[in-house]
Amino acid sequence: MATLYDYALSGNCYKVRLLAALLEVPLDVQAVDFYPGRAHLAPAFLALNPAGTLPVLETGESVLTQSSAILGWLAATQDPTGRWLPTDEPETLARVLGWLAFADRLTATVGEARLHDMLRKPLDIDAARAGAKQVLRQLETALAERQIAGQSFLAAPHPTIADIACFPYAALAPDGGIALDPYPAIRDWIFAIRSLPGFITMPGIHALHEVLDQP
Amino acid sequence: MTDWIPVSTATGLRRGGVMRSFVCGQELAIWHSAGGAVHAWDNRCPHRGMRLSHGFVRGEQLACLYHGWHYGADGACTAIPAHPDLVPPASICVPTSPCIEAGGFVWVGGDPAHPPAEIPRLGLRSLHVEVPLATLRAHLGGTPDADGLVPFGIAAAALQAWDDRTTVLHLATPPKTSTTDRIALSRAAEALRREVEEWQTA
Repeated sequence: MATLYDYALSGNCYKVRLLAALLEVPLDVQAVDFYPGRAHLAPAFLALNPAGTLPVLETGESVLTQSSAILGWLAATQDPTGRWLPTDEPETLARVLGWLAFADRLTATVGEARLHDMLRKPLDIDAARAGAKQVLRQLETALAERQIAGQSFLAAPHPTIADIACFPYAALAPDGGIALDPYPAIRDWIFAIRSLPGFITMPGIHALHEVLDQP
Repeated sequence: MTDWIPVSTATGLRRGGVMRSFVCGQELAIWHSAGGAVHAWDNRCPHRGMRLSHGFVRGEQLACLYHGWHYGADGACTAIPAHPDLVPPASICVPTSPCIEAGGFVWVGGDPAHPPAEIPRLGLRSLHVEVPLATLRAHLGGTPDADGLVPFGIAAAALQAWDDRTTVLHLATPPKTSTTDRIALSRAAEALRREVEEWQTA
């Protein structure tokens, strides 16, 4: 079983836990005290990942860093359908890779605003929120055009790792003081992802009560 | 002119969905029941003040996310999960506003005896534009019809004042408009937003 070095409040770590859950792949999850312990910068963790970033996945053969890379590894090795990373369709593959890059822009804007508001990271919060608005508008436009074309997901008629890579920091925007009211297409897409069989939650992203049994 | 304020395109809020909106400075929870009815309620649970827009739709009822109190179509509380045997008193009731779907949009606050015109349209999308309503209306031009709609290409544009500095541009097209044309209209709306927001800050 692969070992995930994880921080419960990290959207990037959640991407890995979410895809693993959707693929029904068990992970050995090891909690890293990112805040307030700063354990990701301690010698023991830097010996594992000199960059000091989370998540880290130890597969038994290698040590993988960067959430998008880990999503790619999980899809390539653990998804017999090939749907989460469609390598045999070049145009779809290119779209997926484009969204993996876009996901880092969400992390750098929405994710930073969230670290400011939740963990008191010192940064220019106005700049982070202004950047977040531009990135979320681009996501909204893309999803609105997908809806117009009758599609619910970013890169294919079904969910791919593109959706998993972009989902957490879009859904967590309110944690950074960024309301999602202006983004109705993002709202529908968040609902579609939360509706997936095997979906799991994280703090700030809850389950769909409407599909649960009435208490 | 009518008093109906657009809050969404007819397709912008899926069945079983709930969202927040603002009409004349009032915060509302807009929700779409499983059977297709639309509702506009004060966005506040009478129990602990939780925003009902964080809640969830179950059939023809809206439930609060906090303690699961359920409210029926008339806003009256129907169930309190912590007291399953209690019939909630009629005084526990969410204030409601008139809300209807007509002509490709969802409207709030007008006279139900005089609904907006039933012209078949397909919702395109809604964009938040960070200029006051009068500024956006001036940039759009055109003459508003009886419901306040103005043409945007072959689409109809309905404007909602979200607050003093933000306007929501709701767009709907004739039903048989091609996907290509609808995407072109979406991009034209993006261009209009860029232009009017740049004009505003210049």
